[in-house]
Amino acid sequence: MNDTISSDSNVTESDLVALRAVAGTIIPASEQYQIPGADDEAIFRTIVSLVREQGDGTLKTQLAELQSRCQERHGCSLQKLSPTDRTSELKDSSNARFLYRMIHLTANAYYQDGRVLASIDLKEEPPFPGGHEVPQGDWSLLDPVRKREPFYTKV
Amino acid sequence: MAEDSVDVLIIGAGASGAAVAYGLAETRMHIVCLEQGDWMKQSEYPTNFMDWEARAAGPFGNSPNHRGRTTDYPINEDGSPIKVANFNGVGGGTILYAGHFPRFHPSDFRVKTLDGVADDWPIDYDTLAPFYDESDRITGVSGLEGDPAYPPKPSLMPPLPLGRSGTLMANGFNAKGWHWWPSDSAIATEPYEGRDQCINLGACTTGCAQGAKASTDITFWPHAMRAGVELRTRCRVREVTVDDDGMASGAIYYDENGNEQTIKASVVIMACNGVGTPRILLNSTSSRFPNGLSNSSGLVGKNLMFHPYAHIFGVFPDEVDGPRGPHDCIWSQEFYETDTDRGFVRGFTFEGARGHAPVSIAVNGMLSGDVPWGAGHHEVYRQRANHICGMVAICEDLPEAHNTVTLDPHLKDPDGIPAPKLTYTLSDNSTRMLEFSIDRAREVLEAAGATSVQSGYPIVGGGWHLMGTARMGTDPDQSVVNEWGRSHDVKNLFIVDGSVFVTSAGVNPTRTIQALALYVADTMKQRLANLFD
Repeated sequence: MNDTISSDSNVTESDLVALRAVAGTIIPASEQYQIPGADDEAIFRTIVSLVREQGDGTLKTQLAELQSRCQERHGCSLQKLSPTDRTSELKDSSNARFLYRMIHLTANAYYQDGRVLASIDLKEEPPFPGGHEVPQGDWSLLDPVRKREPFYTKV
Repeated sequence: MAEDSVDVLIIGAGASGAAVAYGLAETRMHIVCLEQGDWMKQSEYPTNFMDWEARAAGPFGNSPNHRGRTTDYPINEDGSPIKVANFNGVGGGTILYAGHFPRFHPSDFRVKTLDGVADDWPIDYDTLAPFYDESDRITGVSGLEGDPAYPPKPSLMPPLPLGRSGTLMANGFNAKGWHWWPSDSAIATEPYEGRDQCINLGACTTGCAQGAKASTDITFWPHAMRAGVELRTRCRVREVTVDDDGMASGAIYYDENGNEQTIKASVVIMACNGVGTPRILLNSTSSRFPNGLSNSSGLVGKNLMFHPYAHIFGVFPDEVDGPRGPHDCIWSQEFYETDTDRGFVRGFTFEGARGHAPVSIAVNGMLSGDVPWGAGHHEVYRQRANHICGMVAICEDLPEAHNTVTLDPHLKDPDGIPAPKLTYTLSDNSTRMLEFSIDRAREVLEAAGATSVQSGYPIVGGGWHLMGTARMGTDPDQSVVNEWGRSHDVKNLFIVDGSVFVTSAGVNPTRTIQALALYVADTMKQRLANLFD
């Protein structure tokens, strides 16, 4: 992961481990749909890129506060909590801003991954230049509207 | 260095600036347009990239306060429940608009006469009709003739496809016996004037990489520039200057290096939208005009109108278009004209929306609680992805003097120019209209088979339409410009953007803005010999 974090980044290797655990908690892998979780290496790399682009200072501070509470309550770091306890901790209202940011980051990275898009019947490529097929639909539905007299107000 | 002196100075290169430049180009006068932003490149629009939704929320987002572009100016909108959505660059707001392209109705110009509210316009639908036609020709409008909600109007290209989403909603409207029609759209459905046809990228509001959507950088501007109009980018105007006779003499602006420049002009045309134009006029103070230019009425910056929007979306068992296809689809104007039994005056348009994109479904769903994060996420998400469609209600906003654009005493743009400050409240009439629209839309979506419906108002980031802050009229005490866009106070100063709107109608304004700009340009040409009398 070091190659995706700028040299002046505040985020440490330990922070990355925690963020990766959070991402995987927000969107876990699914055997049923045969898709990775947001802690997948490629997807998490995108999350880290987004963090770097948007600035990591606030996230770093929020994560530190969360880690501090985890130590107080559980005697260990967030990443070492059980999935159930990690979920409970994230749902604590004191972590609302951190969760809000992580939901944004995780969803943006996860739902641009080609494997994920393919699983919901979307193309594994940017919209341009391929575009999409859209059916014309049933234009006969317009017949009753065509029969209406003009109803705009004449002035 | 030679003095920079031109015949006509246009400030702003968006919808109105482009149209008025095109309209005046045939005069062969020396016309220069100053634009604070850049030319856009289709190869840089978000849909060229996998992370298009992230890019759309970043440098191509519609909030100038969050976009992070140096070409933007900040806006203090703490005092408004609706936040400005704009774009600063050649093409202006048309870079990011959806391309909804309705005309006003004849009744929109006569609200005082018909409903006893606001004011009548000093012009009417028939005055603008030929300029609508001309604007349509340059723009390239797709649609279908015969809409009973409108007087007859031509359509240049076939309508956008109904698709799965349009078909579902059409069934819902038909079940209620209510009007619907394919939307008039500024989107080419066939190759048109050098532009290729729409290929359903599905992200019109992030800029059209295909060039099918008619942003004015690829419609009016090429025509105007071929005819000799000069367009200078990265030029941010601070103020319009005046001479000893009280006539506009040009402008002071900052170039791309932040250096102050002066340009002289015989005619100055403001085309900076309903926030940018009053901002510059209010900042153009002098001993002769201590309260800002063209402001003897005190109305510059007052009567700010948005269009308050409601959003109403349903979840359907059947697959819909989702992010595939342009936003534009069908509209309904069943509730456009006044019926006082509804509890409000004037009306609104329903605009169908094909669906949501994958990231937005996830973010909005998880933050609202509709889609869980963690266990159960995938199952619920799959019930939403490609299964949500619905509509927005674009409601007529009536002018109220307490809704204002003023200059912020502290906030400034990168060149030190005071930022605009908005003060705006939703009226009781708007609130009743929004709530009524949600109830009716819910009926449509449920009739179409929606298993659940979600709604809300206003759309906070939906301040796309900025109108009314320098309105037109025949009485200098009750308006800022006359019936053909000329300032009552300064005879060589014109305004052609949404500022001059007397009322807002219940439709998107761009088609009318462009028609008005062409109408003003035509009137100027007709009166060249005595333009300042």
